[in-house]
Amino acid sequence: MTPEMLPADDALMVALAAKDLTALATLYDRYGRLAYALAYRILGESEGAEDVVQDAFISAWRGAAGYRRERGNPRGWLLSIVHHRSVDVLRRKTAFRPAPLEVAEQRASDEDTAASAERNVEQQTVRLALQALPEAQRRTIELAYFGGYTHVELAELMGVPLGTVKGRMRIGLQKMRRALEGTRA
Amino acid sequence: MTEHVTDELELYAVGALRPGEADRVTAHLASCPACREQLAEIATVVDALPDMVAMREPPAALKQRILAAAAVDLPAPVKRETTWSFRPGRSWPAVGGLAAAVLLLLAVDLNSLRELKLANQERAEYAGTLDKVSRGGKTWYMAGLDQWRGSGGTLFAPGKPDSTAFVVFHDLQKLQTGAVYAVWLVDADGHWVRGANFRTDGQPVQSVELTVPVDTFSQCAVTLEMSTEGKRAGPLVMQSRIAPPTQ
Ligand SMILES: [Zn+2]
Repeated sequence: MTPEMLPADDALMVALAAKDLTALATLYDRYGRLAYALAYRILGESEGAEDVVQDAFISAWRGAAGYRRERGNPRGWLLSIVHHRSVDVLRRKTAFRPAPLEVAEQRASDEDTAASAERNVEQQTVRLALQALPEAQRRTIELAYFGGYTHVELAELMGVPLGTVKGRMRIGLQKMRRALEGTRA
Repeated sequence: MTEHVTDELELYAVGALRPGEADRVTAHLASCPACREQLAEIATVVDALPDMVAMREPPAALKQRILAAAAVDLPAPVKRETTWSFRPGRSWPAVGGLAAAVLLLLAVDLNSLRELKLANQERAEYAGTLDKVSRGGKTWYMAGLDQWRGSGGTLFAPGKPDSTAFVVFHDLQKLQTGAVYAVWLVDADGHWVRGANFRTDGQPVQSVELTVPVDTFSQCAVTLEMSTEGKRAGPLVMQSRIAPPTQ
């Protein structure tokens, strides 16, 4: 997410809107790995993750003409499609029921410590910012974003009112934003 | 404008709203720059969350699969683009006769034995029909995509300005009840204009007249629709560029 790369990404979106297949290939080279890692992290299996990534890139390919910069940079836009679809697939699995908190958290920590060696500074910063949060706020963010839990499910799972879930999410994200801005400045 | 959604934006950004709730926020965002701006700030954090995921290499074949799936959207390559010379003194017969006559042209294109046989039966009509096609007109072949591979259609655009353009289709698949094939003309700005609706008549070859002149458009396409009017909503059945791209 280096700022210098953004204009190049924007140019890519223009080429994509003009149905340039090489632009799609470049977009994939740039973000395919991250998109796949995110989908895999949410779905926990490779076949579903591949389908989601394919869907997301095709959706970006077809929707590029309607892309507007104000909705976020191309990377964020693409990843939000991947996230949205992954959560969608997860929720649609009929067997899906909110897993006990410990199970969901166990999976989370196993996954995320696995390849920490190859992280860059920016990635470490995000991890540190999240880890610096009070437990309840960190869990709320992780379980919603990576676990696909809705706020209603989270309230039930954590035994707190809906307003508390909302508040933890808000304060947690605000703190992370300040932490990230601090390191970027 | 609906009530501001400030209170829901964090939940919305991480995807923690239930579908109905999220739809309401999406609808509000479409008309509220203030809430959009606030969401954009929240998104800077949420967009960073994927960075903490353990990196994982996707299978090498995935990229090829994506590119192949995307290539389906590209205009089919132009198979033929022929200009005939204008020969005065002949009138245009009914389009029904054309279908049979054009068979021979298609048979050459498609190298289909069955169609060649049909064309021979109609040979008498062929000579007359060729004339109609020949008024300085042009043709473009649209090949069926995906599950419609094997179907196709040739768009005939007569050179005479006030003459009707038409498409001769071959090997169209039967439609489910309620569905229609829609023929579209697409301009350089990406506007889709419906040129005709039709259902299959069970014949191997079928011709369809367009209600709009084709000369200002850059592409012709056929989709499968559930309605005879409105915007394009269904899957692409076939498509061809019909004018050089304007830059
Ligand atoms: Zn608002």
